[in-house]
Amino acid sequence: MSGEIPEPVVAVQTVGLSRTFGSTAALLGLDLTVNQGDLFGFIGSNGAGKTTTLRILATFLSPSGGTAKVLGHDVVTDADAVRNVIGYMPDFFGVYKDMEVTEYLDFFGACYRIPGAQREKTVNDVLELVGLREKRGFLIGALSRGMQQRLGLARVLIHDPRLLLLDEPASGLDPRARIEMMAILQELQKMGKTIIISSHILSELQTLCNRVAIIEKGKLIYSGPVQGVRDHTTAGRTIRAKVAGDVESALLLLRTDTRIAAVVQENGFLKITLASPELDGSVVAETLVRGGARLLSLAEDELGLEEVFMRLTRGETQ
Amino acid sequence: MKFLPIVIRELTVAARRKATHWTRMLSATVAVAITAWMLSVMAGSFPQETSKAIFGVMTAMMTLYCAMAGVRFTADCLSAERREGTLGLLFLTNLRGHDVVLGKLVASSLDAFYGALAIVPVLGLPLLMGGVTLGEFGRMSLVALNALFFSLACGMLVSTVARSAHVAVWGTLLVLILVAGGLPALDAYLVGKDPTSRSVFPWGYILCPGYTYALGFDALYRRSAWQFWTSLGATHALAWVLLGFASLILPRMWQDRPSSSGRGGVGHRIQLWLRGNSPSDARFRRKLLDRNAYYWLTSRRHWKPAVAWFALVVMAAIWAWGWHRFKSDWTNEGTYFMTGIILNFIIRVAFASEASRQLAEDHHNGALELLLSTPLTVSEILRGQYLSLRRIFLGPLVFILLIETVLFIATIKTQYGSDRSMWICLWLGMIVMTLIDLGALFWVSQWMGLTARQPNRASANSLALVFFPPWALLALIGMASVTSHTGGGWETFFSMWCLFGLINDFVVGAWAQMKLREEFRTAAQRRYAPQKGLLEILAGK
Ligand SMILES: Nc1ncnc2c1ncn2[C@@H]1O[C@H](COP(=O)(O)OP(=O)(O)O)[C@@H](O)[C@H]1O
Ligand SMILES: [Mg+2]
Repeated sequence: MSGEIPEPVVAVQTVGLSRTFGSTAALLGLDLTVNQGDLFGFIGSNGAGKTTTLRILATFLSPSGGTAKVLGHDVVTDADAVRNVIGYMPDFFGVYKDMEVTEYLDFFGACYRIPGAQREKTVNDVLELVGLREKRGFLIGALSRGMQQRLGLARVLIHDPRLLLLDEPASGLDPRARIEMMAILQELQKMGKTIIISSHILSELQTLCNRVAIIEKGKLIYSGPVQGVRDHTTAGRTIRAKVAGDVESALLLLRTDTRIAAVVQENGFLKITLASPELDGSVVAETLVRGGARLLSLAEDELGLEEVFMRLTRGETQ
Repeated sequence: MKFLPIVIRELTVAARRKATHWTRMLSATVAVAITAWMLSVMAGSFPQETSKAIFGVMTAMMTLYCAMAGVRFTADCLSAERREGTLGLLFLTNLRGHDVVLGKLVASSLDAFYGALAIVPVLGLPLLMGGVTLGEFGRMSLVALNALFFSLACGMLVSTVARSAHVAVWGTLLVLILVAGGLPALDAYLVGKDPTSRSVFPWGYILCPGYTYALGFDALYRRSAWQFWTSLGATHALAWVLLGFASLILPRMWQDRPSSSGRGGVGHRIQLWLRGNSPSDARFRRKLLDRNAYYWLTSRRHWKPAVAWFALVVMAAIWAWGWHRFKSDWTNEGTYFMTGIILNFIIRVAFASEASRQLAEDHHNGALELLLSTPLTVSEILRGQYLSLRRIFLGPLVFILLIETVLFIATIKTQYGSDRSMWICLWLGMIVMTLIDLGALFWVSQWMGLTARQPNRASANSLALVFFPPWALLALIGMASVTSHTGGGWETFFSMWCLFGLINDFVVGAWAQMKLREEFRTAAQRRYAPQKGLLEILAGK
């Protein structure tokens, strides 16, 4: 309608957001920015404050300090506007087990003031989208956990929100249900929705999200692309190398090099941790080849990302 | 005997728990207060008489408390686990039905037992004063403990089959009232029809705790000792049978619910109807949802108004039976007024229970968090509640008021002079107070439901808030006037009762309304740890 007002590119912005419960501080000045169209991973270990943040963004909790804006609306002063543009899925089901799937969606549709005539069609559409069409007449209590989670997604989508806040949607799902869930989320991102999804496992979101934030003890410790997580830490990369012949002398070579922090033997490989993040695998190759060891293979350790995350969060707690 | 470790553990934990402590303190304080009051009132009588009276009142209270304990302590203990979905977990361990039933029985009945135990030291006083024999003392303790056991067993059995907290609590109450009042009434009716059967053992009374209680006193015990022991033994044996039955069926009842795949069959159709799932129901849903989404949520069990009417029909039937049986002895102003009191009491209790139900449920299953992040406003929620309560209660309330008008007119037609003005006052006062109480309960019950730690206590708490303060104040004034030998006639007390009730309704109603309007969201944010399940107890957490 009003073409002059530019669409905000920022979907969520929090400034110094904090929240205390009695004497425990769940959030301590969180500054978070999520852009529109992001599939944003919100990562932290248990008790880090993910749920608290999402609850504040969903206007269910009020912050003790700081501000949070969702698509340009303040969550405290303009809560009604926020509620109309978000879809919030808590970390538990929050369902009425003795309701039927359609009844449940019809009810929430009415909460979002979708008029009666339109609701039936909308319910069918969202059920189609999450692949629960055949289950429409089922009692919610009779659905599997994966299906209940998909029903939760359907509920979140019923009013076509622009921002989805999903609190650990993949927890407790089997790998297959998890992959299905991720596929739906990617589909939704293509439809132009901004999605914030929380998890306590970084590698789970590694391939899914284009941006991530890591929080620990209510503070942001990283925000940016997934690949950047590694550069952000003071920890060096982990390299896996295989050498032929005299492993002991190779070990000795590596251990005397100051650019290498640690070496351990693991399943016939050498697991090498570099001393600083600027260094890469060439350091290892150089040392081994110069020392006369027979290097067979060399690769950066993929699982290392989870270790980086552990180190990042542990660093904060100590 | 896997339940034994649980029992021992629970005993030590419960003794340290705050609630247990308060239960004990409260019952002991009440007992001491009443004893002191009776001592002062009966200061002129023989000590033996005083002692007998104190003993009678104390043991009666204790027995009543014990006989009703199942409603509060066991009725919802297994059904709560069923709702939480933890009941099934128990049977994945190597626990058997009786382990769970006995473990739960002890775990959830300790507060009850401690409450009763706290009165025992107070009973020592009449024993010392004389007039009460050690035999009586022992028998009364047995009666109370036995009533407690029976009541808890009843609650446990109902809890085994029930799912919702309300069905469990009201179901247990109904069973206990039937056993204590229904069976004796039936027996009395049969004896009345055929007086020659008087010699027959009064079987209808055998399970009634009041009957055993009365027989426990020396005067009656001397004549009918065997009846006392039969009654006690029968109750005790039946309690074990109930527990055994509960243990037997529990392993078959833990499944959450039948899957929706098994369509067809009468049972399934009844279930569908109860849940509200017929073509007409889609229309019903559409209509209510378009008006107010929360209205549909609270009204979706569309048979609720039918239950209210059914209850009224049952009461009408009982009334008609009394009329038919006692003829002109029945149709007098006393019966009329009693009818009014009972009707008004029941509608208030049912109203409080229904008004607190949905919010308590939503808060505990987390649905409130979802609802409050939609555009649904707090005033819409309150409005939906109002509409739903009106749908259930308006008809029955109008009906009750009509009946009471008839009874009222029938009363004043036969009364003259000061009696007439007394009845006019009593009736009008009662009706007006009921309406105002309902107004206060509307707000108080919702607030209690929203903030209740245990959903099934919400309605009891709100009733207590509305009923208790005026009565307590009145009782205090009554005691004061009796002890100081001043005091007025019924007018003074009745107008005081009305006045206190009015002030109290106004204060608690306004308070709850303010809380609901201003702090609804804050209260909804509070997280309640789910009640400790048996599994955690077993795991030693
Ligand atoms: N309603 C509440 N009352 C008290 N403490 C809370 C409440 N909600 C969260 N907390 C506390 O705040 C901290 C952060 O919790 P949460 O946001 O749930 O973490 P996460 O979702 O990352 O696991 C935890 O220490 C938790 O105990
Ligand atoms: Mg969480």
